[in-house]
Amino acid sequence: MVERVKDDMGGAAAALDFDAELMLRVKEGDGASFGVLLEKHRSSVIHFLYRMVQNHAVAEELAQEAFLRVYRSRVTYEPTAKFTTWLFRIATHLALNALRDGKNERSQERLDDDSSDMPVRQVSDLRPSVEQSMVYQAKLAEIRSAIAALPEKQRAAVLMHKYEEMEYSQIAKVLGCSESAVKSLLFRAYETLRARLAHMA
Amino acid sequence: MNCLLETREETQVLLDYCARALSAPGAALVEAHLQSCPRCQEFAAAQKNLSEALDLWQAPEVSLDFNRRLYQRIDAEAAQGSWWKSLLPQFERGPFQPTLWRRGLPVAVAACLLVTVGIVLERPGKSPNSAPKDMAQIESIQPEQVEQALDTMDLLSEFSHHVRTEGQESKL
Ligand SMILES: [Zn+2]
Repeated sequence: MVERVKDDMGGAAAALDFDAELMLRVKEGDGASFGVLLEKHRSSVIHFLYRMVQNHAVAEELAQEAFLRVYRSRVTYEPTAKFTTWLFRIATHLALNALRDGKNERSQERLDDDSSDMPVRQVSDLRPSVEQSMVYQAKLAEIRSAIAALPEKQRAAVLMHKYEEMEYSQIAKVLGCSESAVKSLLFRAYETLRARLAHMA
Repeated sequence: MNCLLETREETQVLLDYCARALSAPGAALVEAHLQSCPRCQEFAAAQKNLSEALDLWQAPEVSLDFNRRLYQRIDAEAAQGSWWKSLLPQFERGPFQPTLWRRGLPVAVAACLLVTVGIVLERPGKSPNSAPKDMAQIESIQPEQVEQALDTMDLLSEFSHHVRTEGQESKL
Protein backbone atom coordinates (compact mmCIF):
# COMPACT_ATOMS: atom_id res chain seq x y z
CA MET A 1 0.00 0.00 0.00
CA VAL A 2 2.96 2.29 0.62
CA GLU A 3 3.56 2.36 -3.14
CA ARG A 4 0.21 4.10 -3.45
CA VAL A 5 1.65 7.12 -1.70
CA LYS A 6 2.25 9.53 -4.52
CA ASP A 7 5.62 10.79 -5.57
CA ASP A 8 4.75 14.36 -4.66
CA MET A 9 6.16 13.69 -1.22
CA GLY A 10 9.50 12.66 -2.65
CA GLY A 11 10.58 9.03 -2.77
CA ALA A 12 12.20 8.75 0.64
CA ALA A 13 9.50 10.64 2.46
CA ALA A 14 6.81 8.54 0.78
CA ALA A 15 8.42 5.30 1.85
CA LEU A 16 8.75 6.57 5.40
CA ASP A 17 5.31 8.06 5.76
CA PHE A 18 3.74 5.31 7.76
CA ASP A 19 1.10 7.84 8.81
CA ALA A 20 -0.22 8.08 5.26
CA GLU A 21 -0.35 4.30 5.23
CA LEU A 22 -2.36 4.35 8.47
CA MET A 23 -4.69 7.00 7.06
CA LEU A 24 -5.32 4.82 4.01
CA ARG A 25 -6.31 2.05 6.40
CA VAL A 26 -8.68 4.45 8.16
CA LYS A 27 -10.12 5.21 4.75
CA GLU A 28 -10.84 1.51 4.38
CA GLY A 29 -12.72 1.47 7.67
CA ASP A 30 -9.98 0.53 10.12
CA GLY A 31 -10.76 2.55 13.23
CA ALA A 32 -7.77 1.20 15.15
CA SER A 33 -5.44 2.95 12.72
CA PHE A 34 -7.17 6.24 13.49
CA GLY A 35 -6.46 5.56 17.16
CA VAL A 36 -2.77 5.05 16.36
CA LEU A 37 -2.62 8.33 14.43
CA LEU A 38 -4.39 10.11 17.27
CA GLU A 39 -1.99 8.80 19.90
CA LYS A 40 1.02 9.61 17.75
CA HIS A 41 0.15 13.20 16.89
CA ARG A 42 -2.26 14.35 19.59
CA SER A 43 0.33 15.99 21.82
CA SER A 44 2.20 17.85 19.10
CA VAL A 45 -1.02 19.20 17.59
CA ILE A 46 -2.40 20.31 20.95
CA HIS A 47 0.91 21.85 21.99
CA PHE A 48 1.19 23.73 18.72
CA LEU A 49 -2.38 24.99 19.03
CA TYR A 50 -1.82 25.89 22.67
CA ARG A 51 1.15 28.06 21.77
CA MET A 52 -0.79 29.60 18.90
CA VAL A 53 -3.89 30.60 20.90
CA GLN A 54 -2.31 30.51 24.38
CA ASN A 55 -5.32 28.91 26.01
CA HIS A 56 -5.33 25.22 26.89
CA ALA A 57 -9.09 24.69 26.70
CA VAL A 58 -9.36 26.46 23.34
CA ALA A 59 -6.34 24.52 22.05
CA GLU A 60 -7.94 21.19 22.96
CA GLU A 61 -11.23 22.27 21.45
CA LEU A 62 -9.45 23.12 18.19
CA ALA A 63 -7.44 19.89 18.27
CA GLN A 64 -10.69 17.94 18.65
CA GLU A 65 -12.01 19.74 15.62
CA ALA A 66 -8.80 19.04 13.67
CA PHE A 67 -8.92 15.29 14.35
CA LEU A 68 -12.64 15.22 13.70
CA ARG A 69 -12.01 16.82 10.30
CA VAL A 70 -9.29 14.28 9.58
CA TYR A 71 -11.71 11.51 10.44
CA ARG A 72 -14.53 13.01 8.40
CA SER A 73 -12.22 13.50 5.42
CA ARG A 74 -10.97 9.92 5.41
CA VAL A 75 -13.06 8.89 2.41
CA THR A 76 -11.64 11.63 0.25
CA TYR A 77 -8.12 11.30 1.65
CA GLU A 78 -5.35 10.97 -0.92
CA PRO A 79 -1.76 10.74 0.28
CA THR A 80 -0.48 13.59 -1.82
CA ALA A 81 1.82 14.78 0.97
CA LYS A 82 3.01 13.84 4.43
CA PHE A 83 0.11 13.19 6.77
CA THR A 84 1.51 15.58 9.38
CA THR A 85 1.70 18.36 6.80
CA TRP A 86 -2.01 17.95 6.12
CA LEU A 87 -2.82 17.65 9.84
CA PHE A 88 -0.87 20.79 10.72
CA ARG A 89 -2.42 22.62 7.80
CA ILE A 90 -5.87 21.88 9.23
CA ALA A 91 -4.68 22.81 12.74
CA THR A 92 -3.11 26.07 11.55
CA HIS A 93 -6.23 26.96 9.59
CA LEU A 94 -8.35 26.40 12.71
CA ALA A 95 -5.97 28.37 14.91
CA LEU A 96 -5.89 31.35 12.56
CA ASN A 97 -9.69 31.34 12.34
CA ALA A 98 -9.96 31.14 16.13
CA LEU A 99 -7.59 34.07 16.53
CA ARG A 100 -9.53 36.09 13.99
CA ASP A 101 -12.81 35.17 15.70
CA GLY A 102 -11.51 36.68 18.92
CA LYS A 103 -10.88 33.54 20.91
CA ASN A 104 -7.46 35.05 21.55
CA GLU A 105 -9.13 37.55 23.85
CA ARG A 106 -9.59 34.66 26.23
CA SER A 107 -5.95 33.81 25.70
CA GLN A 108 -4.90 37.32 26.65
CA GLU A 109 -6.62 36.82 30.01
CA ARG A 110 -4.57 33.69 30.43
CA LEU A 111 -1.32 35.57 29.88
CA ASP A 112 -1.77 37.03 33.34
CA ASP A 113 -2.70 33.74 34.93
CA ASP A 114 -0.60 30.85 33.75
CA SER A 115 0.28 29.32 37.10
CA SER A 116 -1.38 26.08 36.03
CA ASP A 117 0.91 25.95 33.00
CA MET A 118 4.06 25.83 35.05
CA PRO A 119 5.77 22.53 34.28
CA VAL A 120 5.17 20.01 37.05
CA ARG A 121 8.87 19.34 37.46
CA GLN A 122 9.41 23.00 38.32
CA VAL A 123 7.18 22.51 41.33
CA SER A 124 7.77 19.00 42.54
CA ASP A 125 11.38 18.20 41.64
CA LEU A 126 13.26 21.43 41.92
CA ARG A 127 11.01 22.98 44.56
CA PRO A 128 11.79 26.58 43.62
CA SER A 129 11.59 29.32 46.14
CA VAL A 130 8.78 31.83 45.87
CA GLU A 131 11.27 34.26 44.35
CA GLN A 132 12.47 31.75 41.73
CA SER A 133 8.91 30.90 40.93
CA MET A 134 8.06 34.56 40.44
CA VAL A 135 11.09 35.06 38.20
CA TYR A 136 10.08 32.02 36.18
CA GLN A 137 6.50 33.28 35.84
CA ALA A 138 7.72 36.70 34.78
CA LYS A 139 10.01 35.19 32.12
CA LEU A 140 7.24 32.95 30.90
CA ALA A 141 4.83 35.86 30.64
CA GLU A 142 7.38 37.78 28.58
CA ILE A 143 8.02 34.87 26.25
CA ARG A 144 4.31 34.28 25.74
CA SER A 145 3.68 37.92 25.20
CA ALA A 146 6.55 38.19 22.68
CA ILE A 147 5.24 35.19 20.74
CA ALA A 148 1.67 36.49 20.87
CA ALA A 149 2.82 39.82 19.47
CA LEU A 150 4.27 38.21 16.34
CA PRO A 151 2.18 38.41 13.18
CA GLU A 152 0.15 35.20 12.81
CA LYS A 153 2.20 33.59 10.05
CA GLN A 154 5.51 34.39 11.72
CA ARG A 155 4.12 32.95 14.94
CA ALA A 156 2.98 29.74 13.26
CA ALA A 157 6.31 29.40 11.46
CA VAL A 158 8.37 29.89 14.63
CA LEU A 159 6.25 27.43 16.62
CA MET A 160 6.56 24.76 13.94
CA HIS A 161 10.29 25.39 13.49
CA LYS A 162 11.28 25.72 17.14
CA TYR A 163 8.92 23.37 18.97
CA GLU A 164 7.88 20.86 16.31
CA GLU A 165 11.31 20.88 14.62
CA MET A 166 9.76 20.93 11.17
CA GLU A 167 11.86 21.54 8.10
CA TYR A 168 11.40 24.64 5.95
CA SER A 169 9.82 22.61 3.16
CA GLN A 170 7.16 21.18 5.46
CA ILE A 171 6.39 24.53 7.09
CA ALA A 172 6.06 25.97 3.59
CA LYS A 173 3.50 23.34 2.65
CA VAL A 174 1.58 23.86 5.88
CA LEU A 175 1.45 27.62 5.38
CA GLY A 176 0.93 27.41 1.64
CA CYS A 177 3.96 29.49 0.72
CA SER A 178 7.44 29.01 -0.69
CA GLU A 179 10.44 27.84 1.30
CA SER A 180 12.12 31.20 0.83
CA ALA A 181 9.02 32.89 2.22
CA VAL A 182 9.25 30.64 5.29
CA LYS A 183 12.92 31.51 5.74
CA SER A 184 12.00 35.16 5.54
CA LEU A 185 9.16 34.75 8.08
CA LEU A 186 11.51 32.96 10.48
CA PHE A 187 14.30 35.46 9.94
CA ARG A 188 12.05 38.37 10.88
CA ALA A 189 10.37 36.51 13.74
CA TYR A 190 13.67 35.48 15.36
CA GLU A 191 15.02 38.98 14.87
CA THR A 192 12.02 40.43 16.74
CA LEU A 193 12.21 37.80 19.47
CA ARG A 194 15.97 38.26 19.97
CA ALA A 195 15.45 42.00 20.40
CA ARG A 196 12.48 41.60 22.74
CA LEU A 197 13.93 38.85 24.88
CA ALA A 198 17.63 39.83 24.80
CA HIS A 199 17.59 40.90 28.45
CA MET A 200 16.64 37.37 29.51
CA ALA A 201 20.16 36.09 28.82
CA MET B 1 35.05 33.33 4.50
CA ASN B 2 33.16 36.64 4.47
CA CYS B 3 31.23 37.54 7.57
CA LEU B 4 28.01 35.56 7.69
CA LEU B 5 26.07 38.63 8.75
CA GLU B 6 26.75 40.42 5.48
CA THR B 7 23.93 38.82 3.56
CA ARG B 8 20.59 37.46 4.67
CA GLU B 9 21.31 34.11 2.97
CA GLU B 10 24.49 33.63 4.98
CA THR B 11 22.85 34.82 8.18
CA GLN B 12 20.28 32.13 7.46
CA VAL B 13 23.16 29.62 7.43
CA LEU B 14 24.20 30.89 10.83
CA LEU B 15 20.61 30.49 12.07
CA ASP B 16 20.57 26.95 10.71
CA TYR B 17 23.83 26.31 12.56
CA CYS B 18 22.24 27.59 15.78
CA ALA B 19 19.24 25.31 15.19
CA ARG B 20 21.66 22.41 14.63
CA ALA B 21 20.20 21.95 11.18
CA LEU B 22 23.50 21.96 9.26
CA SER B 23 25.42 18.95 8.05
CA ALA B 24 28.72 18.21 9.81
CA PRO B 25 30.88 19.82 7.08
CA GLY B 26 28.60 22.91 7.00
CA ALA B 27 28.74 23.23 10.77
CA ALA B 28 32.54 22.90 10.72
CA LEU B 29 32.80 25.81 8.25
CA VAL B 30 30.59 28.01 10.43
CA GLU B 31 32.57 27.08 13.54
CA ALA B 32 35.83 28.00 11.83
CA HIS B 33 34.39 31.43 10.97
CA LEU B 34 32.96 31.91 14.47
CA GLN B 35 36.42 31.53 15.99
CA SER B 36 37.62 34.63 14.22
CA CYS B 37 34.46 36.78 14.09
CA PRO B 38 33.15 38.47 17.25
CA ARG B 39 30.05 39.77 15.45
CA CYS B 40 28.94 36.30 14.45
CA GLN B 41 29.85 35.00 17.91
CA GLU B 42 27.57 37.63 19.41
CA PHE B 43 24.77 36.78 16.99
CA ALA B 44 25.07 33.05 17.67
CA ALA B 45 25.10 33.66 21.43
CA ALA B 46 21.96 35.81 21.18
CA GLN B 47 20.18 33.17 19.12
CA LYS B 48 21.25 30.47 21.60
CA ASN B 49 19.88 32.55 24.48
CA LEU B 50 16.62 33.02 22.64
CA SER B 51 16.35 29.31 21.98
CA GLU B 52 16.95 28.52 25.65
CA ALA B 53 14.38 31.12 26.69
CA LEU B 54 11.80 29.57 24.37
CA ASP B 55 12.58 26.16 25.87
CA LEU B 56 11.25 27.46 29.18
CA TRP B 57 7.76 27.52 27.77
CA GLN B 58 6.41 24.04 28.25
CA ALA B 59 2.94 23.18 27.01
CA PRO B 60 0.56 21.69 29.57
CA GLU B 61 -0.28 17.99 29.58
CA VAL B 62 -3.11 16.84 27.37
CA SER B 63 -6.37 16.32 29.30
CA LEU B 64 -6.98 12.71 30.29
CA ASP B 65 -10.42 12.69 28.70
CA PHE B 66 -9.30 14.15 25.36
CA ASN B 67 -9.68 10.86 23.44
CA ARG B 68 -12.95 10.01 25.16
CA ARG B 69 -14.43 13.37 24.19
CA LEU B 70 -13.26 12.99 20.60
CA TYR B 71 -14.62 9.45 20.24
CA GLN B 72 -17.87 10.62 21.79
CA ARG B 73 -18.18 13.25 19.07
CA ILE B 74 -17.36 10.70 16.37
CA ASP B 75 -19.90 8.27 17.86
CA ALA B 76 -22.48 11.02 18.14
CA GLU B 77 -22.11 11.87 14.46
CA ALA B 78 -22.23 8.20 13.48
CA ALA B 79 -25.27 7.54 15.69
CA GLN B 80 -27.08 10.51 14.26
CA GLY B 81 -26.83 8.99 10.81
CA SER B 82 -25.03 12.12 10.04
CA TRP B 83 -25.01 14.04 6.82
CA TRP B 84 -21.56 12.83 5.88
CA LYS B 85 -22.70 9.19 5.82
CA SER B 86 -24.20 9.98 2.46
CA LEU B 87 -20.69 10.69 1.23
CA LEU B 88 -19.55 7.26 2.32
CA PRO B 89 -21.05 4.45 0.27
CA GLN B 90 -19.06 1.84 2.20
CA PHE B 91 -20.11 3.24 5.55
CA GLU B 92 -22.94 1.08 6.80
CA ARG B 93 -23.68 0.58 10.45
CA GLY B 94 -20.57 1.64 12.31
CA PRO B 95 -17.35 3.41 11.53
CA PHE B 96 -15.21 0.29 11.55
CA GLN B 97 -17.60 -2.43 10.43
CA PRO B 98 -17.16 -2.89 6.68
CA THR B 99 -13.51 -3.87 6.80
CA LEU B 100 -14.13 -6.33 9.57
CA TRP B 101 -16.79 -8.11 7.56
CA ARG B 102 -14.58 -8.19 4.47
CA ARG B 103 -11.81 -9.81 6.44
CA GLY B 104 -14.10 -12.57 7.66
CA LEU B 105 -16.02 -13.33 10.81
CA PRO B 106 -13.24 -14.77 13.00
CA VAL B 107 -11.01 -11.78 12.42
CA ALA B 108 -14.00 -9.51 12.99
CA VAL B 109 -14.87 -11.17 16.30
CA ALA B 110 -11.28 -10.97 17.52
CA ALA B 111 -10.95 -7.37 16.41
CA CYS B 112 -14.29 -6.44 18.01
CA LEU B 113 -13.08 -7.89 21.30
CA LEU B 114 -9.88 -5.86 21.07
CA VAL B 115 -11.73 -2.71 20.10
CA THR B 116 -14.24 -3.26 22.93
CA VAL B 117 -11.44 -3.69 25.47
CA GLY B 118 -9.82 -0.58 24.03
CA ILE B 119 -13.05 1.37 24.25
CA VAL B 120 -13.69 0.27 27.85
CA LEU B 121 -10.15 1.22 28.85
CA GLU B 122 -10.29 4.47 26.93
CA ARG B 123 -13.72 5.46 28.23
CA PRO B 124 -13.96 4.35 31.82
CA GLY B 125 -17.14 6.30 32.53
CA LYS B 126 -19.07 5.02 29.57
CA SER B 127 -21.62 2.25 30.04
CA PRO B 128 -22.96 0.10 27.19
CA ASN B 129 -26.28 1.86 27.61
CA SER B 130 -24.83 5.30 27.18
CA ALA B 131 -25.54 5.58 23.46
CA PRO B 132 -28.76 7.61 23.84
CA LYS B 133 -26.91 9.96 26.20
CA ASP B 134 -24.15 10.40 23.59
CA MET B 135 -26.77 11.10 20.99
CA ALA B 136 -28.26 13.73 23.22
CA GLN B 137 -24.85 15.39 23.41
CA ILE B 138 -24.60 16.03 19.71
CA GLU B 139 -23.20 19.53 19.52
CA SER B 140 -23.09 20.15 15.85
CA ILE B 141 -25.69 21.84 13.79
CA GLN B 142 -26.16 20.55 10.30
CA PRO B 143 -25.45 23.75 8.32
CA GLU B 144 -22.31 24.24 10.35
CA GLN B 145 -21.19 20.69 9.62
CA VAL B 146 -21.79 21.16 5.93
CA GLU B 147 -19.76 24.35 6.04
CA GLN B 148 -16.93 22.61 7.88
CA ALA B 149 -16.93 19.72 5.43
CA LEU B 150 -16.72 22.07 2.49
CA ASP B 151 -14.02 23.95 4.31
CA THR B 152 -11.98 20.80 4.88
CA MET B 153 -12.56 19.59 1.33
CA ASP B 154 -11.45 22.99 0.05
CA LEU B 155 -8.41 22.75 2.26
CA LEU B 156 -7.70 19.28 0.96
CA SER B 157 -8.03 20.18 -2.71
CA GLU B 158 -6.21 23.47 -2.27
CA PHE B 159 -3.52 21.56 -0.45
CA SER B 160 -3.26 18.85 -3.12
CA HIS B 161 -3.07 21.53 -5.77
CA HIS B 162 -0.38 23.37 -3.84
CA VAL B 163 1.65 20.22 -3.31
CA ARG B 164 1.36 19.25 -6.96
CA THR B 165 2.37 22.73 -8.06
CA GLU B 166 5.33 22.64 -5.70
CA GLY B 167 6.26 19.21 -7.03
CA GLN B 168 6.19 20.50 -10.58
CA GLU B 169 8.21 23.55 -9.61
CA SER B 170 10.85 21.46 -7.94
CA LYS B 171 11.14 19.25 -11.00
CA LEU B 172 11.88 22.29 -13.16
ZN1 LIG C 1 31.06 36.96 10.96
